[in-house]
Amino acid sequence: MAATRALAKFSPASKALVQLTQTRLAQTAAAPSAQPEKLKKFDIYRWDPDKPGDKPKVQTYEVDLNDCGPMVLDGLIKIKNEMDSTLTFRRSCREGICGSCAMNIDGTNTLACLYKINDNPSKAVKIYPLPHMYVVKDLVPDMSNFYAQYRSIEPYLKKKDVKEEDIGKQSYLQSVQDRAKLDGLYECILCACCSTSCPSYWWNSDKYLGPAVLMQAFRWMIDSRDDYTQERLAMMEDGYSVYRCHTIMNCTKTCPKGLNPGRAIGEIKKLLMNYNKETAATH
Amino acid sequence: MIRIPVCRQLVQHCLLRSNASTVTARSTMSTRITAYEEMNNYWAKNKKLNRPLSPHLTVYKFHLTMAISIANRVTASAQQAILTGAPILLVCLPGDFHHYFNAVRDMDIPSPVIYGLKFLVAFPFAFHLMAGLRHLVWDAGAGFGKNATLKGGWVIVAGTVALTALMMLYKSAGPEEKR
Repeated sequence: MAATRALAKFSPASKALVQLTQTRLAQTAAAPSAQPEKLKKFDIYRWDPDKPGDKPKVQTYEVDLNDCGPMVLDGLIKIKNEMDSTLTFRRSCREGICGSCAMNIDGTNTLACLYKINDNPSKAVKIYPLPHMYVVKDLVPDMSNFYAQYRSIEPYLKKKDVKEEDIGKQSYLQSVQDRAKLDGLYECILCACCSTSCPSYWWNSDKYLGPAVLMQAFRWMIDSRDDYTQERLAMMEDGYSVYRCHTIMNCTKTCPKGLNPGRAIGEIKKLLMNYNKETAATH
Repeated sequence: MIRIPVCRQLVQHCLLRSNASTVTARSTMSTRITAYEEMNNYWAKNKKLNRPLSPHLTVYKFHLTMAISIANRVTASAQQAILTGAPILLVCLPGDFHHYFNAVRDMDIPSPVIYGLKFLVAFPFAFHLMAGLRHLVWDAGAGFGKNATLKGGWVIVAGTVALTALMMLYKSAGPEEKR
C-alpha cells in the first residue's frame, strides 16, 4: 500500500492507474468471502406508465457495497440485474461521455456513472429523474423538447456566399487563438443536467432555451468560421429565449463536465448589448 | 388534379433558387418538420399521455447561490412595498410626517420592537443593494467562476450583515431637534 501511495505521487496518470488497480482488486476480493455485508439503501423514484392510475412513488433497495462498483450507475445496474428487472433508466458509455445516465442524485443533477455512492452508511442514495420533466418511465424523462430547442439554434457551421456544390471542396481554417475560444464550450455532451437544474427552465421551458442550448448557441456565435453571428443574436432578442436567465447559477454548479453555462449566457447578454447598439445605429 | 404536384415542384424550385447562395437551403429540409413544430408536438403528446412531472423544488438540494437569488426577489418585493407604500400612506393620512414621527416617538415603544421594525426596513434594503451590486459585476461579464460565485455569495451575506447593523444603529437627528 505504501508503495502504491509513493507511486501515486508521480503523476495524475499513474495515480489514476493505481486507483483503477485498487478498485479492480477490491472487486475481485469482494467475491463470496466471509466479509460482513455493507448494505446501502437506494431510494429510487418509480412510475410505470403501463399500470393504469399508477402514482409516482419511491422504492427502496438494499445493495451490498462489497459486491458493487463504486459509482451510482454500478448500483443501478446491480439492482436491475439481480433484484428488479423492471427498474428503467438510460445508460450507455459508463464513462461520462454519452450523457445518457443524467439524473438527480442526492439532490443535484449529475451523471450516475461519474457520481460515487456516498460514504455515509446511514444515508440512503436518493435517485430521481431530471427535475421538472415529463416522465416516460421510472428514471427516463422525455427529452424531445430539449433536443428540439437545440435544433432550433441551428448548431452547425453556416456560411454566406457559398454555393451548394462547393461544400466540402475546401476546409475553413481557424487561428489557434480563435480555436481556443471554443474551449470550455464544445465539450458539452448535452446531458441536460444544467438545463433541468434551472428554476427558470422549470417554469418556462416552453419559451426559455435553457443553459445547455444557450451555451451551444454562444459556441456558434463566436466561431470565427461562422457567418451568421448577427442572425443568431437576432433569434435571442425576445424577452424569453435568453433573458429568463436570472443568474441563479445552478447550471454551473451542477455541470458534471465542469463547464460554465452561466458564463456563456452572460457573454450572450453582453453580445446582445452591443448588437442592439449596432442595430439602433443603422436605423 | 395532375397539375397540383407540378405546381408544388415549381414553387419549391423557385424557393430553392432564391436561396441558392446560402448553404441552409437544403432540399431535404423542406420535408422535415421544423424545430418549433417538434416542440408543439412534445407538449401535446405529454399532455395527452398524462405523464407525471418529475419532482423539482422538493428534491433539489438548496445552496447559497440559489438562496441569494430567491432572497433577492423577495427583498425586492419587500422594499418596493415599503418604498411605495409609506409615501402613499403619508399622502392619504391627514397629518404630516413630523406629526406621525413625534407621535410614534411619544408612544414609548419598547426598544426591541423598534429595533425589530428597523430591521424589517434595513435588511431588505441592504441585501438587495449588495445582491444588485453583484448583478452589475455579472453584467460586466465577471465573477462567473464556480468559486467566484460562491465567494461572491458570502461577500453579499457579510456585507448585508454589516450594512444592516450600521443602519439599525445609526441615530439621526430627528425632525424635532433640527428645528
